[in-house]
Formats: sequence, C-alpha cells, structure tokens
Amino acid sequence: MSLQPEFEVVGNHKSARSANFKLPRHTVKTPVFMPVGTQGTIKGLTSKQLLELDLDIILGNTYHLGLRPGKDIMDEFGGLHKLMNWPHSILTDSGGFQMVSLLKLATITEEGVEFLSSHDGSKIMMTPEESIRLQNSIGSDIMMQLDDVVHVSTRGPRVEEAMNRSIRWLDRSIAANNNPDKQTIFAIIQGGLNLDLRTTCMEEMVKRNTGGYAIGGLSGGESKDEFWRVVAHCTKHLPKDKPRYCMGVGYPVDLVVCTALGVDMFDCVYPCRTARFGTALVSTGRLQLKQKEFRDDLRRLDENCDCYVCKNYTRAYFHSLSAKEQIASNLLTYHNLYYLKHLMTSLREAIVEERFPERVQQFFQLQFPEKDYPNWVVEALASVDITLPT
Amino acid sequence: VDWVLAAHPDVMCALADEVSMLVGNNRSNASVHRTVKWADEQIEMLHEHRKRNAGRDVPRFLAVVTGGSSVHSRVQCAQMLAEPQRAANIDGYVLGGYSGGESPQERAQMVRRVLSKLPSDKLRVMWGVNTPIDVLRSVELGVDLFDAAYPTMLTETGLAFVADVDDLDNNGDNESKSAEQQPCTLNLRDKSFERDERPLLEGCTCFACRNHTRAYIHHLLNTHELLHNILLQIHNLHHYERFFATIRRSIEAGKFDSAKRVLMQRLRQ
Repeated sequence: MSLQPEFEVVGNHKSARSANFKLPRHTVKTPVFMPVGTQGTIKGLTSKQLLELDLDIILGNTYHLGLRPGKDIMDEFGGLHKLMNWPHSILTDSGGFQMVSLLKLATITEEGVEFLSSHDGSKIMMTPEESIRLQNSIGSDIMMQLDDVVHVSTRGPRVEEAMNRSIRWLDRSIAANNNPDKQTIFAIIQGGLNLDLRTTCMEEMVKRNTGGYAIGGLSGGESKDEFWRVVAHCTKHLPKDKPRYCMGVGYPVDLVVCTALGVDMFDCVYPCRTARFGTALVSTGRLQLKQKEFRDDLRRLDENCDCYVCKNYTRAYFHSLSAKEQIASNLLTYHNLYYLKHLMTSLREAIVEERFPERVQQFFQLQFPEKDYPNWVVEALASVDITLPT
Repeated sequence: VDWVLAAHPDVMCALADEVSMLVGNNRSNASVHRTVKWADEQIEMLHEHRKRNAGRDVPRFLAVVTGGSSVHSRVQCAQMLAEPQRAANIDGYVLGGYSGGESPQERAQMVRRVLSKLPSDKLRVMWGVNTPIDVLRSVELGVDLFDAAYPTMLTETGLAFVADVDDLDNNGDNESKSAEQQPCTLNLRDKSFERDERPLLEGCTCFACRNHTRAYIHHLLNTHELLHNILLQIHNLHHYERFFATIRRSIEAGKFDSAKRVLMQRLRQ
C-alpha cells in the first residue's frame, strides 16, 4: 500500500497556504524552509541544535551519501536518521543535480546518467532505480525522483526531450521503491521556461499521484521575471491537496514571494554557506560582517531576533572572527537558520490568522525602507492581489 | 600590560624573558635578571591600575620563574621572586621553559629544587607540560595548574582520548588484565570504526558520547565535515577533566601514589 501522506491545509490566503504535512515519522509544518545537510550534517551544527531550532525537516544529498558512507553502511545502520541521530524528517534529492553540475563527463542517456566517479575515476551509471534504491537505504521520508534536468538557459528540443524523459523516469522510480508505505516519492516538474511544456509535464505527472510535486529546473540563472511566472503557472495547475516544493530557493525575498504564489517547501545552501563567509541574514536584509563598519559595532546581529546568538554575541565579534574561526561560522549558521525558521513560521501564522498581506508588506518595508522594491516582486505579488506600500 | 588589562582577565601571566633548555649559562643568567626586573615593573603597573580603579577589576598576577638550562639560575630566580616583598604582590608562579628537550628526570630535578624555594601557599603553574603522563609526574612534584593543549591536539588529529581513568581500586589484583588493556586514544579516521555503533567511550556522559556514535564521527572525519571537531573536542575536554578529577579525588583520599602507579601503567599503552 503506497504511502499518501496527508497534506492538511489549516489556512490559506489566495494562493498561499499553511498546512501540516503528516509524514509517518514526523509532521512537517508548512510553509517550510529545509536546510541542506549535504553529508549527514548541517555544517557544524549538532543534531541537538537542529532540534533547538525546531526544524521539522532537513535535506540530505544522495550523491554524496552514496559515496560516503555508502549504501552498505547505510543499510547496516538502518538509515541516515540513525547514523546522525536525527528524529525528525529527511528529504533526499536524487543525486541528479550534483552529477550534472559537479562532474565533468556526465552523459545522459535513456537508461540514466553515466559519469566518472570523482573519487576513483571509475564509470558509474546512476539510473532512476539506483537512485531510489540508494534513497531507500538512506531511509529518507521524502525521496526525489531522478529527473533529466537541463540548464535553464537551454533552448530547443532538448527541453522537451528532458521533460518527457523525466516522466518516464518518474514511472521507473515509483516502480523501484522498495519501501512505499514508509517513504514517499515526489515528482519533479520540468519543462524549462516553456509554460506549455510545464503544463504537459504537470498533466502527466499528476496522474502518477505521488506524495508531492517539486518545481525543478529553476534557480539556475534565469531572470527573476521568468522565474516567478513559471512558479505561478505551476502552483496554479498543481493539485491543492499536495505540497509544492520549489527546489533551490533560499533568499528571504524569494521565499516570501513564492509562499504568496502557493509554494509550500523550499531548500537552499545559501543561509549556511553565506554564514561561513560572515554574512548574517537579518530582518532588514543582510549584514556583511567583514566590512569595516562593523568593527566596533556592539549591537546584536538583528534587533528583532532573540536567538541564542543574538542574545550573546555582537556584530563586532563576528567582524573579527568570521572566515577565520570555526565558531563564528557555527554561530552565524545557527542564527541564519533561526531567522529563516522564524520567517517561515511568521508567514504560516499570518496565513492562519488572515493577515498575510500585512505580514508580507511588513517584511518588504523592513527590507526596502526606501520602497525601492524590485519590479519582479511588485508584479508577482500583484498577481495574487498583494500590493506593497509606496 | 595595557593590552592584557584591556581584556579584563581574572588572572594574568607576567611578560617574562623565557628561554629554552638549550641556551648557555650566560643567557640563562640574563633571563633571570630581566624577568625579575620586568616582574617588578609589572607589579608597579598593577599598583597604579589598582589606584586608578579603586581596587576594582585588578587581575591576579602570576610571576614566571625562568632560568633556561641552568639549575642554579632557576633556583636563583625562584628565590628572588619568593622574597616576601615581591611575593606579597604575586598570586602564583609559572614554572617556565620546560618541555624543551629535557628528560623527565632532568625536569623533575629542576622542578623539585625550584619548588622548594617557592611559598607553598601559592599556585604553581606549568604550561606546555600536558600529556597525561607528564601531568601525573608534575602533580607528584607539586604543580597545580596545566593547560589543555593535549586534548585539543588530539582533536585536531582526529583522535579521541579514551584512557581508563576510573575504577582505580579494581586494578591491583588483575595481572591478566594488562594483556588486554584498553587503548588510550582512538584514531577515528581508521576504517575499523566505519560501522561501530558504540559511543567514543562507553559510560562517558559527555554530549558526544550520549548522542553520537564512533561511526558517525568517522563519517564526519572522512567527509571533512566541520562537526567532527566539535564532537571530538567536547569529548576530549570532558574526559581530560575527568582524568584531573580522578587525580584530585585520589589526593584527597591520601591515595595518590597508588593511583599514579595504576594510571601510569594504563597510560603507557
């Protein structure tokens, strides 16, 4: 019996929704931002800190975990949850994106993706079946299908070919799932920037009735204008009773706009990566703490944040230690994740309490006090009847 | 001194002319006189600081006993710094310039002579002498305070400190036990830990041991993930402190000699 996790909508405003996504192990509250714990750890944070941050779900990378520690060890341990002692939910990507972006000689055929291992140079074929089997071993609650993902700048017949292949690979992924009542698969909608191709893809994939749907192939350098239109098109046509996951989206502005457009789940390496370079995400935007202006700034990172880091450390502290000492990177990572968690929770609450437009306006006022909002933001929000104060 | 005071420490260590064991007599001698002179100057500066701050926020002051390779110089330095007028302004003594190539016996001889000149009611500190065996030897001689570079060095090398520092009373009658004694450190990079579901040290109550396994830490080391440092350091500091707690307990119970014997034997693995 295939798992159909309940997606319980508890509030909505036009396209935006708040929901409880009831996975077997743990319920995920949406809209949700999923931090990326590539190799079974979120860069320096302990599992206990992740619980303190009240994270419902994190991401693992199948490609990396498949190499180290590898399928055998995963099987022996009974999965990543046990290996890293994480009791809440895990989503694994298929490994496809890493292969195409990280590896030099990755060849895509109908069978799968063939590439050379970056460790010992041997030839490896990653098929949809192999990807799902690996994810079965990892034991993630949500598994992403292997998709034929093309760069967003691609034009011509390749886009349609990739879209159609992704549908066939979805079927193969579903068939290969050896733990269907505990682990659910998400389909990944492809089609590039072509709305018709996207529609075709959605029509087909929705028939397969997977646990949720991801909007793939974006966040690869397309204009924001193109980006939001594709997202809006997809959320308009995807079923309302399943979660929508926009992959690779993580700038706060993008999270807010996409939530307004009807997206429920997000992931990105941005908050953790930028922390390691000394950038803090705050309610007014970002602070690049290595800059001179912060040398003597004894204020907390964010006036509106009451996380452990903001309560105990100053901007000056990070100015002197960021990019030099590991502790600075850990603390900033913690704060950035706290900030995003708090942001998403505030959106969720605003939707439930029927004051979502006001919350969105408040967010943008703090980020753009001069009211110089990016055009794409204004248009995207207007499409769901949210106007920003001028 | 200004820089040190800007950090508002609770205790400060004097700037001294520290020299290693490898210098000659002239240099050793010079280091003594310079060190004492500087100590006097710093004591004076602290007086001024005390007056300016109405006695508030004045750190304790540790003087450094130098003297290089010469036992005579070291003893002389100790005597000068122990003179009542100076000692009244000194809260503890750092025995400087060890761990520079001397044998344990040479060190023991020097330290004994030096300590015999220092007031017994003041702190004795040694920096750079911090392996568990060196700690035991130095505690026996009368040293009170050490630095934690050893556990930190272990962490940075991917090693966990797991020496058996408990259960000292149960060692005596087990001759056969020495054949299968537990190792003092584990090299977590070793492939043998790949599937090891045990904590670093069974029974250890530190965060790393209560929440994570050897296999996970091995994985983190293998993938160069930042978290391995954190978990290893938490454990190594915790266990190093337990080692010191065991030493303190044994001294308080009047059983340090036998405790040292047992621990030295275990630590020689």
